[in-house]
Amino acid sequence: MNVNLYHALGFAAGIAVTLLVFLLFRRLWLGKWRVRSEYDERQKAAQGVAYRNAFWTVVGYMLLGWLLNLFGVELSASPSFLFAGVVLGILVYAVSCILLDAYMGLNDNPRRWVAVTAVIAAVNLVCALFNTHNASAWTANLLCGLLLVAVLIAFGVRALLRPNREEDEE
Amino acid sequence: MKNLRLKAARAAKDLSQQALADLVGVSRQTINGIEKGSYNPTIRLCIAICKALDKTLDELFWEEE
Repeated sequence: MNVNLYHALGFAAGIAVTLLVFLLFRRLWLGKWRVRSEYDERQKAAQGVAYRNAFWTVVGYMLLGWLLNLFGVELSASPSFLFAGVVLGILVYAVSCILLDAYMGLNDNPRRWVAVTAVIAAVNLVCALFNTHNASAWTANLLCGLLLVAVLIAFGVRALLRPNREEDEE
Repeated sequence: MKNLRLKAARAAKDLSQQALADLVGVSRQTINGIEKGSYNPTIRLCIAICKALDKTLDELFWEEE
């Protein structure tokens, strides 16, 4: 077996273990294997808008890569560039949803969500810190960590910008 | 256009936006959006709100010229 195959197997095993830990964690914490967020009709419509924003952002990003490629910058062929595009799309989707009050489901607990997201962001950033010798792992961890930090910042900014409840009901 | 009739009917029942939202199964921001006129609800949600507030669709949502 060559090194690439070992790398792919390691990657798949990592995802499997992470998924297992996540499911066990959720089972222990929430007492359920499957927890589905519930959204109302306005939130679902807003998620459609967010999805459209993310879609066109990724299209723009790919066009930019194509243009750079035309000018001889070989960025668009690298896996990191493609992964960054996916992360950018997710970021635009998440931030759009947050700004439109469509990120949290009706049955979600915002404090719990912020805590879990902060922990996952920290784990990713720490992993990036220890993975500087491996460019692809470093990029993946760093991008995921930064994505989650950006989402947390967007969540905080939205909470600060939102008028308080009494004011909102005026 | 703001829906002041909805707001008045909710206030008459002494319900907060959150309380009405819980009654009809939506988020508080959705009720706020309907009252402010920034969100146009589906007929299904309009009916649920009318039932919760003991009002008719005409009383809450019909717009006179």
